[in-house]
Amino acid sequence: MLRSFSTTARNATKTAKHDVVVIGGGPGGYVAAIKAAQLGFNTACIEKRGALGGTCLNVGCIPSKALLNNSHLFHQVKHEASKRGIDISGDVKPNLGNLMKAKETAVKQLTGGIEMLFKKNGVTYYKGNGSFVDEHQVKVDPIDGSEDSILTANNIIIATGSEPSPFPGIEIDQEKIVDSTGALSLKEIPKRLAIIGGGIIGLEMGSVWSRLGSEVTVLEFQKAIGGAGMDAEVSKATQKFLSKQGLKFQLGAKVVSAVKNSNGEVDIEFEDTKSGKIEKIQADVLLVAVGRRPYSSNLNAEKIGLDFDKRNRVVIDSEYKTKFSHIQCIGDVTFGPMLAHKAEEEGIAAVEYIKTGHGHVNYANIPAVMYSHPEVAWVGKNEEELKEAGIKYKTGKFPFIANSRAKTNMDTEGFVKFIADAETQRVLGVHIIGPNAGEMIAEAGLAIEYGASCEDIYRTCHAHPTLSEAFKEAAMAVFDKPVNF
Amino acid sequence: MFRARSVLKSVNVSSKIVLRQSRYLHSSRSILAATTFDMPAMSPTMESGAIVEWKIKEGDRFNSGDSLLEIETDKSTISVDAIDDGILAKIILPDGTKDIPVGTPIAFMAEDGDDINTLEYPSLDAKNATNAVPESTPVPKPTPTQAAKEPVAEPTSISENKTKSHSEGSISNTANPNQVLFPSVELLLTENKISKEDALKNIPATGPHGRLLKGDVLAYLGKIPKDLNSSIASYLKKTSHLDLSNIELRKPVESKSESSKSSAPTTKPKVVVSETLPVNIEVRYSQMNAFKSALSEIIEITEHQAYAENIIPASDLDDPLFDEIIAPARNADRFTVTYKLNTDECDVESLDLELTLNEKCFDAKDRAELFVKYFKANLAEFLKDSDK
Ligand SMILES: Cc1cc2nc3c(=O)[nH]c(=O)nc-3n(C[C@H](O)[C@H](O)[C@H](O)COP(=O)(O)OP(=O)(O)OC[C@H]3O[C@@H](n4cnc5c(N)ncnc54)[C@H](O)[C@@H]3O)c2cc1C
Repeated sequence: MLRSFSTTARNATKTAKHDVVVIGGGPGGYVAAIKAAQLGFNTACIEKRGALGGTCLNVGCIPSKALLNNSHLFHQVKHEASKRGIDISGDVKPNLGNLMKAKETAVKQLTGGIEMLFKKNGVTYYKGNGSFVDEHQVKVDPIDGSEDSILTANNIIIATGSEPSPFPGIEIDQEKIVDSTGALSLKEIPKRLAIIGGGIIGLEMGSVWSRLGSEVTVLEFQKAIGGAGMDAEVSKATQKFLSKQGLKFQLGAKVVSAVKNSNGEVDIEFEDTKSGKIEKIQADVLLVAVGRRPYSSNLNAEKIGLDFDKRNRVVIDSEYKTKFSHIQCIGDVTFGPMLAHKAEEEGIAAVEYIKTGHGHVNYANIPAVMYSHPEVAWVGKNEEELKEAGIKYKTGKFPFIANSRAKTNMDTEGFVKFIADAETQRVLGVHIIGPNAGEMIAEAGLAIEYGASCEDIYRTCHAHPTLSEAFKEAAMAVFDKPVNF
Repeated sequence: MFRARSVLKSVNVSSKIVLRQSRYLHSSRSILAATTFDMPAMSPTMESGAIVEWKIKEGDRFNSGDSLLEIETDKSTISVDAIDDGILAKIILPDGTKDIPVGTPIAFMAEDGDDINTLEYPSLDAKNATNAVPESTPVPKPTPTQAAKEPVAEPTSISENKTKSHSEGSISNTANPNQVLFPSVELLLTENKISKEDALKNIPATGPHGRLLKGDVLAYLGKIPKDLNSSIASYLKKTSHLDLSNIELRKPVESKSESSKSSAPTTKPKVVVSETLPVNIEVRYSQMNAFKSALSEIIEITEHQAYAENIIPASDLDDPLFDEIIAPARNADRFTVTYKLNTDECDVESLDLELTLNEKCFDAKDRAELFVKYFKANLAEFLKDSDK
């Protein structure tokens, strides 16, 4: 008599077996899953967001770049059209609804594209939250309310990514006080936008809204914008160019509090660390962009006793293995820079370790790009790092103002800067601020991967007239005289 | 070149073929040279296949969409179609050839308009070498075992095998003999009358994969200190790995069951939701354990219901990931359930339900109330069933 209840209760779980189960469908996870399937493994990927592509495609790289590109076009049309010889009758206005639509279309197409790739490569896609039952079993709680699944796997790859770091004491409501996700979907253009954090995400979002008409104030605790890794000289130039576009910067600003007042504004208090004075500003929207932190809640990793470091990164070895050799971890949730292409590389390498026992990511050669205007991009070492390592270096710079293509494009802000070993002339780092820097940096990556010297670059023919000639001339400037400057 | 990327597609796994083709384009195709067409992989697991029949003859033109040949795998026979126009210049492996590993060259293709009599045919042996020079004599000699592998930028002949020790990132001092020299290196060598052969033999190479760098030659010429190159190389090598040294572990987080226990004895008064529910059922002593385990099951199921219900209204602005961040974790304990049975001999008269709330979760109370609601219903249903 008492049994009937229990039988119905116990049947509600499906089970499945896979060679490789990937938890998280971001750039790290989905790439790992496809690669694993291509290498012949029976592979599954668990994603709880309802769409593949992770932070990057849904609320990160892709939507931000859609807004950056279109807001830049708007800005150019509005402010440069007439001097470029284009007369526009009537008002040039942003249409926020359509801007957002264009963004959403890009996101939908790309996330849908990954789902197709899964189908094509035979990756089983579980839409739900994955959590450890034990070292070999992962439970999927489906988001659509269907029955749970228990997956048994020989190999498990954790790629659960990251989330915006909260600012202690400031409550995000995604309308007035937003994080990067909210800043990508504001319902109207704020008159005044304040941003805590002058890192890449803060500056990109600041650029978008400033171009669309917001008064943007960036509050940064450090003495420079751009975050770690950005060359000091480049950081200064960036601040100069963005200031010219109308962004305001408060460096050395230690935010104390931010609260919504009764008029629907946000009151922000910060300490000017130089003077020690408390200052107050008001904004219509506040963006909290103080970085991202590894995300592994809901994974039930405690259950199997995975190790985490003090910053909540999953501890791994050089083969991405956690303390269990069959459980690997890649991407934002573990060590290294939080970048989509880094996560992807690791996804491939991790799977190759499973298949062949070796894989390769060169962490000394991971480019970083900020899609402001002008763009900022760098790869390899910066001067500070080399000083610290005691390596003698020389730098060479070439300004875009002296580049014929930049001039004809009326887009001449910025420069290319090479850093090379003083004696061997080997390229150690390249830092670019200028038009198309994000694409141009690929050539620097290739040079570094091959151990090229500056001479090898300037002896390589670059097409004329292109921006890439500035790259070549900067390489030349390290040990020689540039021709066109 | 771009044309050859997509010369052919198979019916079901076109991208695979395209990929494979493009990978060794740089070594197998030079200007006005024929392109090798390799045994395509018709499925991710296919390792080899047989040529049933070529559908066109040597010298024939084909258009995009034409069937070129039929391939038999252990699973099926599939037609391979062209996705671009071209000419079948030469068939390497004829009809009926069996067990051809995927990636083995089976034919030479030419561009539309090429004269196949004057075309250069890439040497199949050289295919895997980095500096393959296409030979002009078309002596296609299939080398199945070699070609079946992904092309690697490593010499494959025996005499050169010692250079295999140039595994990735290692700072080796022997130059990879099979390299195209950097322009800076070539110039320095010419200026100083050193032959390429001598340079590769005598100058320690500190670049990636045994690559000879400008700095290496400068050091060899005595223009810069000898050990500079290797110190740079070892610095770069060190930074080419994730820095996994000095990791400070965080304290292990208590697993959930423990944390719910330890959260109980706080100084603050606990917040509880409680309710007494009528039961009125006879449970014999021998059935008591079964009854209790049935109750625990009902509690578990009810918990699922209470936790699963969506109590935050959906909003366009919300990103599910963000919800996870501001909202307590979906499976964080909202409350702990205890109950007491009020019995009179064998009669269970009523049940005192007590839910201790976890105040860290803003939705604890709502979910606790949902729990009580669902528990009532589930209990009633259970009692009805049990009565029968
Ligand atoms: C506004 C913004 C702009 C950015 N721009 C750039 C850029 O231009 N270039 C760049 O390189 N990087 C950029 N980034 C960073 C980039 O998005 C991340 O580095 C990248 O997404 C990391 O990939 P990942 O696979 O490690 O994790 P994520 O992309 O975070 O993916 C992890 C996925 O796992 C899912 N998940 C987590 N836990 C579970 C679980 N238990 N079960 C199932 N699924 C789970 C999550 O829902 C998520 O979808 C940007 C980030 C932001 C926020």
